[in-house]
Amino acid sequence: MFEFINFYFIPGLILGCIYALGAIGITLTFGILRFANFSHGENMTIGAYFAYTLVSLFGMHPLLAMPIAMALTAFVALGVDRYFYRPFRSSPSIMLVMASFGIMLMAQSIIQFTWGTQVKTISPGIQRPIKLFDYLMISPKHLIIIACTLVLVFIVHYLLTYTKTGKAMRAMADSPELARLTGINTEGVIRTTWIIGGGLAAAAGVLLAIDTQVQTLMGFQLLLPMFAAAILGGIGKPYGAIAGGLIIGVAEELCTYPWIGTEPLIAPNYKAGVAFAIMVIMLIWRPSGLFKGKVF
Amino acid sequence: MDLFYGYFLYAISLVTIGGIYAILTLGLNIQWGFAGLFNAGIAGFFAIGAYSAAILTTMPTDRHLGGYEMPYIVAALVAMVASGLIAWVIGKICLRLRSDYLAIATIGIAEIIRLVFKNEVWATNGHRGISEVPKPFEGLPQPWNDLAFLAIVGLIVLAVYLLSERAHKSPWGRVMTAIRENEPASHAAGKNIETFRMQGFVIGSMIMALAGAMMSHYLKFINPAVSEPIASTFLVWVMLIVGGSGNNKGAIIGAFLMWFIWSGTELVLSTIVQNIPPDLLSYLPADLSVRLAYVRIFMIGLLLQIFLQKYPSGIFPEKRPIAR
Amino acid sequence: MSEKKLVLLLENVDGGYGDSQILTDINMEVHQGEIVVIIGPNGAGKSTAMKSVFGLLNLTKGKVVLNGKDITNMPPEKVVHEGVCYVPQTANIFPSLTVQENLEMGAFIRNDDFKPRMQEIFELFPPLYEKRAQPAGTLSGGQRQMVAMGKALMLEPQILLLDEPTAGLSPLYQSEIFEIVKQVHAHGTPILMVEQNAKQALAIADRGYVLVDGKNKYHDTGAALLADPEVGEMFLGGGKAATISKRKPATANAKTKTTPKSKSKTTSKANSKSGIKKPLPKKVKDPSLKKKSTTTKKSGA
Repeated sequence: MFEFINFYFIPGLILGCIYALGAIGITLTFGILRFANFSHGENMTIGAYFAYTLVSLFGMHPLLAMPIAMALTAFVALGVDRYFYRPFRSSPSIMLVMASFGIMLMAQSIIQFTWGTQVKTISPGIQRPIKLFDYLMISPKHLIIIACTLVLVFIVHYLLTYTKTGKAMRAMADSPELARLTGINTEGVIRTTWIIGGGLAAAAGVLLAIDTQVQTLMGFQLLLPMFAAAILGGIGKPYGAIAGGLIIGVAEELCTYPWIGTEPLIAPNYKAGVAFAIMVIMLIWRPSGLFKGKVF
Repeated sequence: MDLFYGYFLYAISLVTIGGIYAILTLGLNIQWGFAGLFNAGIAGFFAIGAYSAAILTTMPTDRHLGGYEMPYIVAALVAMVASGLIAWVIGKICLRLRSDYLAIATIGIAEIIRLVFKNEVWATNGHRGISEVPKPFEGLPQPWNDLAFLAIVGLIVLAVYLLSERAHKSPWGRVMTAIRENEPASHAAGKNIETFRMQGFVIGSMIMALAGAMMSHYLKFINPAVSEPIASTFLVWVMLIVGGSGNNKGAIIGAFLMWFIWSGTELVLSTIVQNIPPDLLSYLPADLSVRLAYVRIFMIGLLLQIFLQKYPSGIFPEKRPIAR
Repeated sequence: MSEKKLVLLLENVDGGYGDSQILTDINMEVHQGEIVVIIGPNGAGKSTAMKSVFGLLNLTKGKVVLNGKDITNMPPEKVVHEGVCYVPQTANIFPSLTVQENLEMGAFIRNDDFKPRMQEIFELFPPLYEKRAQPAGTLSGGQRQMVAMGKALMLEPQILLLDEPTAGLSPLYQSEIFEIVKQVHAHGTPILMVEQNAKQALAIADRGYVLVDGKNKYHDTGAALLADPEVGEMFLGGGKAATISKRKPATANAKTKTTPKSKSKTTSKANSKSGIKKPLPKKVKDPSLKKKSTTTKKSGA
């Protein structure tokens, strides 16, 4: 039982936190700018590399480097929007999908060129797990990840519910055309979307780097589960994305538990397949997702 | 003379692989150019073709599944059917939704296909790949062997091109154009949009698998690298956009043009790396040549963005099939 | 008629989408304190004429003047700042936002304290106050229109543009909407409204414009238009009968003054029996249909 919690459920929760933070950005850009952003994973990767650079150059603590990496990534996301997405504001959205697909590979190649392809680490080494109630074990870095996620989710919740720009973001996710007719500053909303989406992706990247390591394809590998989380939660629904991320993270880990016999139910190599399967089931059964999001 | 002969062989291989890319691009043109479907998993369909052909035609071995020694044509047909089936399933799920979902699902399925080929070592020999894939006309001495293979590729390109042209001009092609440009109106005209889209998607994916089969016979070797998205999916997209989506001629010319640029820049970059003075080299990262390869991807990516923004209809814009 | 201040003026306006011209030489005026309706057959360019005020189409000739300021071809986000509020026919609320948040979004460009204004709107539409914390998408059709108008009124606009506010609503709600429009108007906001439901609209209107084929055809007071036999034949009875249904088949030549709708219903019934509508309509029917088909093509392009 404790083995199940310690080695399957908690890692699933950790992974879920990271997916959730990444998926918020995906769902917001999908809902507000109306396109599936394939370059979102690269925001994570670049955030992690920014943090790595700060940690290795200045010996900064990863948690201190995280907000700086978030700000830098948000800035990058704004720049990419300005030069690569804004020209397509009035084009069919599929042009944006294609542009983002190109940005994904351009960003990967810049990262690979700048930092090389060797795996790097920013985590402070192996830490002794904390024991709770004698058997329950959780490592300090996992506690950090959960705490950071909670704080960030609370900030996002506050922004969306209580600020004018946050409400305008939700309004625009409902209907961009009406938002424009109402006089909502749509470009401002779009900028905020990139700042929030990019920043959270960077945070997810840094947290993943703290948990595992920094490598050039880390964001790309998470793209599929993040899309799955956004669709599971419902496009345009940030709370849905959070729930979706957690569900998919936990589901991926639980599927590797030896439910039948002694072998893992699904080989760890195929974890990505779990997210894909959940996404496919949702697309068939309920494309609007758990939280009744948009269906395009 | 030897140098000339070397260049000659290099040119043949360049044109052959360019031709295989042309097949891929024609396949994508049916999906995107005709039907407006975004396939972000070209690599997956390509890899299915490559692996099916390799497994079905190799001699018996204990390194991987194989030993069926099927004729090339049968293997290629099986490869195409397998790819078409997967496309059909994906299409069933996604075609009723907007193209974004298809893009997500295709990139997902490509990733899973890649995982399967990488991890199912008993069948695919894992990352070491399948070697000794037979190649047609292997008995012929060089350069005749390569020339004969080039002729096959050329014939396939021609066949796919002609069929594709006919399809584009046929009533089927006109319906496709109508659906792409004004979905509600074609719906109102009583056209079953999903069926038409499905046909385009499945046929395109089958053509991609055929290209994969050709590639594995040509290289005589296949490993999971074929399913990396950069070399296939991305490059093929750039080829089609630059050449002109919706235009078959544009697809072919775009494929050759981008393949020449892609290979040419590799040559240029490696020459540069080789000629860097050693004392300068010591200041540069040790994996410089590896890193420089990524500059190439960046440049191609930038080219795609420039075309998307400034010349969205490509070098050869689509000729609309005018009815009546 | 025009002793009151001129709020909105369209002068010799030509316009359309892309290359295709829909409006030709449109002239229109709205004065302080007026309700002005635009009526006409399907595809006559009614909504398009209204959108021309809001910068939603490309004007090639003429000008649009708001309170003496030229706003020709000004983009919608700027027109809002000039004090014009436009309520589209459909998708005119943010369904997942609460009623109150919808009103707040209406006041997006206001930087001052808009709480008192919101209070006024809640007083104008009491059902909205009750449901202020509910997502607007959960409201009934009539209440949604209240949200849509309330949202527009948050800006205390110089003029309110309503695009077929009763479209797609049941007759019960339609009457409710006209009541709401009257209420809003009573608060002092001039209204320019496009309506299919010509009879009820003219009944509450100070003046009306009849558009055909993207051109001004008639212009008079609401009562006079209701009374005009030709207009009656074309749009109040015949035009409707030809293009939509036989629900309001009668002409209005029996009427001499503006009457409340209940009364007009009975008169129309009486007239339908009298069979005046005989000579109707190939002439009207044809151009409207033709126009309709061309506009669908345009919107698809």
